Parts: sequence; structure tokens; C-alpha cells
Amino acid sequence: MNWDKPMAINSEFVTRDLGDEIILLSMDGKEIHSFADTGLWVWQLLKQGKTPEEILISMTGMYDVPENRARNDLEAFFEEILSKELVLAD
Amino acid sequence: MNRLILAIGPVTAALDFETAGLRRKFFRYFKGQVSLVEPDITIGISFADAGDKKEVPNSLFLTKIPAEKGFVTGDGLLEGFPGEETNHWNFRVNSLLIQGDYKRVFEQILYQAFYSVTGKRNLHLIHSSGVIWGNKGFLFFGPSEAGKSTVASLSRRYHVINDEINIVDLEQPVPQLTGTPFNGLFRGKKRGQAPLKGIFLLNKAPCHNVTLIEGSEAVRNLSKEIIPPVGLSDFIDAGTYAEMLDRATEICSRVPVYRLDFLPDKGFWEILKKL
Repeated sequence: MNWDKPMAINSEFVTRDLGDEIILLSMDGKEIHSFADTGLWVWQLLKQGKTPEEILISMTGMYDVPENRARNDLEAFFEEILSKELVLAD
Repeated sequence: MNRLILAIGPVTAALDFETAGLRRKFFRYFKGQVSLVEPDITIGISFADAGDKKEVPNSLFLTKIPAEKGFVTGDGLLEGFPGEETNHWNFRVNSLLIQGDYKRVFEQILYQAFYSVTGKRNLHLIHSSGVIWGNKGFLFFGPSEAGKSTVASLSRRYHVINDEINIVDLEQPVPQLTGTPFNGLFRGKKRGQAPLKGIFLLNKAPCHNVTLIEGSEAVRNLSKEIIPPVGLSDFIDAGTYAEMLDRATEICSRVPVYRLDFLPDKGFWEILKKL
């Protein structure tokens, strides 16, 4: 995973905003995913085109969390959404 | 004319058969849930011999494709042709599709007739069991084998309106639960409508319990059980699934959704009555 490159949101998913949650639905209706809380906050930054590194800086600036822990948590999140193809690395 | 007018909630669909015997057969099958009012949609139905056809697909939605005039679905078992008048159709149906349990697959084309009439209206067909107790409607849903028919069977002392397909009507000031003529496994259903008290996601468990669920958990589970809002002229596409999600979101914003943990006994009603 490249921390300095923005991730492209996969347009094959339809998104619906429920206010404090977001739902992503695959075009064939077979997959539904959702984000709330920190996941939703990260997703919104990804949609704005922020790189993973920029999101990490925002997170450590906003929350009282050590950088290495924030990096590990974000990495796990990014790997999950990459594996589900909600975002595309290239 | 051998006409049977089905009452599907607020929609009336006239089925015109070639013989009085077929009309009687379908009258019995739909448990007499008929109407005398002017139909919203009329469908002329003719049957062809089963021929060498042996199998019926599970879905008349996913197998539906456009044809030169109208559509073909069920791997060729049913062809639909629009008539010259609005909301008039003619179906040519392979007889295999009305044999035994396959009739429940045939019903799917009538779900589509319902949506042809209602379009984007705030009326939703839900794969579910519906029960009325104390003038309150309880809608039970869940994936296949979750227990919809079991709940209907355990609720037979109350007013079971359907254990397969029900209508959530959000056009009324108070959301309403309405039954349909469509058939599941439960044989004692009765017509009915009541204000919708709650929607219950079924979960077989070691004890009875009810928990309010909100947000995406409610929406994502319910959206899977909404009958695709596809009219007779329409075909499933990516927009269909998005619309199912939107319909689920709308319903969940108007009606509380709960997870019902239940054992296969009547005890869960003691909890539901206290809600």
C-alpha cells in the first residue's frame, strides 16, 4: 500500500448517507458494507482525495493517539477496504 | 369472461383465463382474496403444454430479458406482451409453471404487476410474515430459513395475514401492514390490515429477546427482503438494488426495527405484547 498516493473510490458501489453512517452497495446488490464513527471520518477524507499519509496526520492532530498506533489502525482499515475493493489502489 | 380480480393491498389485478376451470383453480389457490372493483391492471393468461420442460428457475426477476415485444422470463416459461391499452398485458405461460409449488414462482410475475401499477409510490412488497394482534401489525423478516413460516405457525391463535409477502404502506399517516394473496407454507392466513407496530428481524436463539436495531444494521438486512421494485416493463439493473436500499431506508425511518431472538415456541409473543 502506498501512503503517499490517494486511493480511488470504486464507482461500482452505490453509496447512501444515513447521517452518522454510510452504506455502500455493489451494483449487483450482493455486497453491502457500512461505515460509522472513525471509519466514516476516514472514508470522507478519502473521498476528498486525501492520501493515507495526510489522513494519518489529520488523525494524530485531532485525536490523542500515538502515531505508530494510528498508523497500524489505519493500515488495517485501508487493507480491509482494498481487499473488499471499495477503493482501488491505482 | 373468466375473470379473477385479485386484491393485492390497494392494487387490483384482473387475471383473464381461457376457461372457468382455470379461474376456479386460481380462486382456490389465492384463498378467495379477490375484489369486485375495477382493476388497475388486466392480464390475459393463456397456457401452453409443458412439453419437455422439466425445470423451473427460482426467479422470474433475474431470468427476465427483453423480447421483440415485451419480455421472456423463467428460461422461456413465460412470455409477456403489452396490450394496446395502458396496464393491459397478455401472458403465454408454460403449464409447468402452475404445477404444484411452482405456482409460487409464477406469483413473482404478479409482484411485478403490482409494481407496474404502484411505480415509485410509497408501497413496498416485503418478503416476510405478517401477524395482527390487538389491532397492531407485526412484520417478521429474515433470510431464507430464518423462521418466517414458523412464526406464522406459532401465531395461529392470532390473525396471520401472510407468511410470504406483505405490503408496507407508507402512504398513510400511520404506516400500515397489509397482507397479499400470495402463498407461503402457512395455510390459515386471513385478509387483514393494521397499523404497523414494528418490524422484526428473526434470529433463532436459546431464549426470547427483543432488541431495537438502527441505522445500517436495520437497513441492510431489510433491503435484502424487499421485493425488487420492477414493473412488467422493467428489468433488474444496478438501479434496482439502489432503490431497494432507498426503500429500506425510508421504511426504517418510519417504523422501529427490532431483532427478535426466539425459540420455536409461542413465548416470544409475551415480549412483543409489552412493546
